[in-house]
Amino acid sequence: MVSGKPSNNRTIKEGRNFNFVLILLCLLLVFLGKLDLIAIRNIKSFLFDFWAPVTHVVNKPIKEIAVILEDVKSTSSLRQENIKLKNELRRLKSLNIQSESKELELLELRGLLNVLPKLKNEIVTGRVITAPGGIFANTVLINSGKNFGIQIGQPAISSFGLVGYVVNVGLKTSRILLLIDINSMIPIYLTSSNWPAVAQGQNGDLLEIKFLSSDAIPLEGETVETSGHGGRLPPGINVGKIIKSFSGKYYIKPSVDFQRMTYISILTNNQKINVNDKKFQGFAPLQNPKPSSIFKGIDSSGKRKIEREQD
Amino acid sequence: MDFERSLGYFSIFNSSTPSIISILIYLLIRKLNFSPSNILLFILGILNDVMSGVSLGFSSMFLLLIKFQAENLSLLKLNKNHEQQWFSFTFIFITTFLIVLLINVTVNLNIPDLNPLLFHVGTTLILFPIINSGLDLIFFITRMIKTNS
Repeated sequence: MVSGKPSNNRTIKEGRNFNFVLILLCLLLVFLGKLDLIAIRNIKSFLFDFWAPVTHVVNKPIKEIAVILEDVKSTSSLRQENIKLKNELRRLKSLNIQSESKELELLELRGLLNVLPKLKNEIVTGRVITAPGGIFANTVLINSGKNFGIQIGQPAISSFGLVGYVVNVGLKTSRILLLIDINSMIPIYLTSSNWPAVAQGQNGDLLEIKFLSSDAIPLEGETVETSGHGGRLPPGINVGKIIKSFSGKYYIKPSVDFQRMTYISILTNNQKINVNDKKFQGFAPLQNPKPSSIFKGIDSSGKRKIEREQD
Repeated sequence: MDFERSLGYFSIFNSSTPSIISILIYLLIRKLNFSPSNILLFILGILNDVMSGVSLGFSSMFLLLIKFQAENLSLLKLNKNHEQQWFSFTFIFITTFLIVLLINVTVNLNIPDLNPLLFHVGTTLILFPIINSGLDLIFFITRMIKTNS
């Protein structure tokens, strides 16, 4: 069968072969894409810059319908919602008073300790123009790009916390890799139990905690923030909360609702390590311990010394 | 495929959206006896990959594999009623999906969360008979109009 109605066996065979060749070409493209070649990245940037208005036009009515449906659904529970919000407001008012006094105390302590002042963040905010849904990738496009000084690697945040980071920049659009994507890995810090780790997306709702010390016992419900290790993301951005699964494993539930994002802000003044810099020597691996004797005949790595010790 | 992705705005499809395009390709080939061009599917897939941020080639491969199987699996061509069509589609869709998933796992060296994947497969398989029956209903109505006129 070829385009249109079936004609003869030869055309069918040719069509089948061509189909097979294209499948192989796709396979090649998948592996080439993983190499992150600059040419492929540029083609992608050009294409999503070019196609973004079409996507926006297609998405807009469906998004509006979804919003209307959500509104209709919420009207049935307005009374309950109102009571819940009043309680929340009361709780937040008391928390606000507490945090104000804590803030004053913190400022005084910072002054006493001579802590360097934090850099003021420069923010560029863009509108989300694609839905985040996807089974193999979780990314969104925003309608600001190089024209607003956005660069690859800059962190993306919303009012709730970290959303992800920029992975591709076009002239007028940028692609943001969401925290929940399987390719996203960010250095984190458990704020109550004080343990550093790495949060990795799973293409699901939760983030997996990796490289957490075996001694660490995370507290259920404790807040997770970016640790700033590696210099890619600034420290102290809210990521989510620790939850415990039925199997006893700990996960992070992101604070951001990735389906309800309308605007995303990019921190454009985040200092990124420039790998292309000639002076950049790369990240130093762990150093081998210098041989020094701790006990007689045994060096610091615990091995027996073979050479004769000098008198 | 943009439409398919934008279904993610509905709370029911929060975790993943169904693959409507695979249903359409299958029905085009098997029901309407019309085969979409390979190049068209390739370009459509590439554009979808660019917009969804997946590695280039994934969607194209998925669409081309659906087409390849729908056209060439002679064992599954003996499907007349809805039930047989559904079984045939299920086989083709799941096989194609597993191939693409396997490549994805190989490329990323990581196994993704299974919940969205199962939801994607489930909703697609539920939607298939609905779209198929809808198409039959449209054919029935047009035939009725034609015979009456």
